[in-house]
Amino acid sequence: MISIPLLKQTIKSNWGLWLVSTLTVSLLYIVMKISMGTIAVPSDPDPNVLVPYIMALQDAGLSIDGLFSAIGINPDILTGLATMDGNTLVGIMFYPIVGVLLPLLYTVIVGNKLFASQIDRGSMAFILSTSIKRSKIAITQLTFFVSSLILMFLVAASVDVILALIIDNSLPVDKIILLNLGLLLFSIAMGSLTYMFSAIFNYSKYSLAFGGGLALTFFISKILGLFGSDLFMTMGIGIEPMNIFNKITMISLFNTTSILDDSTTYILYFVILVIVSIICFVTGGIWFTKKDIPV
Amino acid sequence: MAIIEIQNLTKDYGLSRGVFDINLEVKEGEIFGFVGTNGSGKTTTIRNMMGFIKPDYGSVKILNHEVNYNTEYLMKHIGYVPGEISFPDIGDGNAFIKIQAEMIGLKNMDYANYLIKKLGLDTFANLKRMSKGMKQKTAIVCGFMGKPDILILDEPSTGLDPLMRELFVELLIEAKQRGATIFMSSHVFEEMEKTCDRVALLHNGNIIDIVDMKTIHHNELKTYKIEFTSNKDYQNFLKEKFNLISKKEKNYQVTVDIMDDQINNFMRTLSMYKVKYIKEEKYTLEKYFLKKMTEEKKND
Repeated sequence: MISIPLLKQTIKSNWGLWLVSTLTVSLLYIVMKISMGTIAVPSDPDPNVLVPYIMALQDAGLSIDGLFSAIGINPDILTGLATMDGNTLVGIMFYPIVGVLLPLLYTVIVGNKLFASQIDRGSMAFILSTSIKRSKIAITQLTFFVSSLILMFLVAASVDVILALIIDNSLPVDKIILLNLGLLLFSIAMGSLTYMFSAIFNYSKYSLAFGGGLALTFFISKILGLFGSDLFMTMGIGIEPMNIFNKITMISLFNTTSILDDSTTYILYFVILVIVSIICFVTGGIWFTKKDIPV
Repeated sequence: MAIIEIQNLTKDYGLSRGVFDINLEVKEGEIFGFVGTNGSGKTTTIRNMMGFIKPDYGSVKILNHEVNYNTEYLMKHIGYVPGEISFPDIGDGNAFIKIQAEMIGLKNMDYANYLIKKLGLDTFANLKRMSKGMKQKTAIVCGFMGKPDILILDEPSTGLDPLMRELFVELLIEAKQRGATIFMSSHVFEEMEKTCDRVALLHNGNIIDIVDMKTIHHNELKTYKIEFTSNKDYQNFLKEKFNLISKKEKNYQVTVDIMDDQINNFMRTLSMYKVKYIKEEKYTLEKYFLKKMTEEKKND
């Protein structure tokens, strides 16, 4: 099924990038979780200070909502803020934005190196002139790519779980595992896209333009979409039309809100990510076996 | 027996680039040369032979199997040196040669080590920092180390210094003596003359001639250049009945074509003149090729 010497060669030429990506993801987890851990502890308001204010408002027949409206702030923000904690922020903003960054970079660069860059530079000639079947080459590269992502998230998730165990007021371990699984499935789906473009094009510039272009589009759309998200709407700083960006980014299939609120939508989205991956890997693999390779 | 058969091979890239209706046969144990100007289609032909690309029309057969994308089993018999050499980013030359040996299923590295020593290759140099010549040597080691029955070489001596070229010619002859069949494209006429049995001339994607090197080596027609000491001798010699190719009155020089059976007559005649020097103008593949090319350009 796979060629061991080719697998060795692919590992040799990509392990450095894997290591850097894995370490950086883990480091981001550590920095983020520790800093969130320190601020996530809710501060208890001092009743001695607060009560006189409320009393004064009530004596005058006024409410806190009225006070906010008078200053020009939507009073709904109060309910929004009351339900917020650091962990919601981590779940909704950290994983799908900061968490995806390194895997995105890794899949774009390594995906291109699997085929297109080797054809573009000509080094693929040394593989094709051996008796390794083209389909075997495609499966070997696929095996490496998916395994390397799984391994990356095994490391990252382990770091994340350890952090959860040592930091007070953290997300429960099962949620952390689900969030990391979601990141992994998204990364594999992104990888399947870069794999497919790399297998289709004979030039790095095209493979990178499509793979990297999509990755960038997904990433920027996710950030822009944040302004139209429920989170920003409840915080009173949302811009509803910008929700459209959430519909064009594949990162939305990594549905952290659903994972955190115990609904089951995320399972359906996971399945979609797996289906996208299968379609793209198969298309790329077959394409590679049926095209002219000018090396 | 024909080891490589190319029939009506056509790969059209538009704007008259590509190869058109190529026909040739390489016999067992033969060294077949492939010469042509830049962009004449040498590499396209070779890529078709390797099954990297598919012809629009026609076919390539190697060992009686039609080559296509899925004829990797033929690669067991083929050693290949690519025209454009680039290595994967996996460290030094030694690491690459080892992994390449694993890929072709080669366990005994004796011959590979012999090649490395012979070419004086420093295998501990990083692949990325190798000079053109070192890359070429590394690729030659990889192509030759499995002692394949067939060698397909795309300009294998580019980047090699003259000394290395000599060693490379020795390697080709060693392979031929072992019984290997060799197909080689080249720009270097000298090494083709030393090694090839036949040479095909490619121009604008068409084979314009296939020369048997015997006709070049054993050409009975020789060309001589003679310079006389005086104008008188020069003028008198012009009246002799020899096949005059060119003359240069200023230097009292003439160039004549003499068939081998005329040579004694020619010498006798010359003995009556005061000759400053006589020189044979070697008939080379390069001259033959240039002549053919000029004819071809006139026809274009």
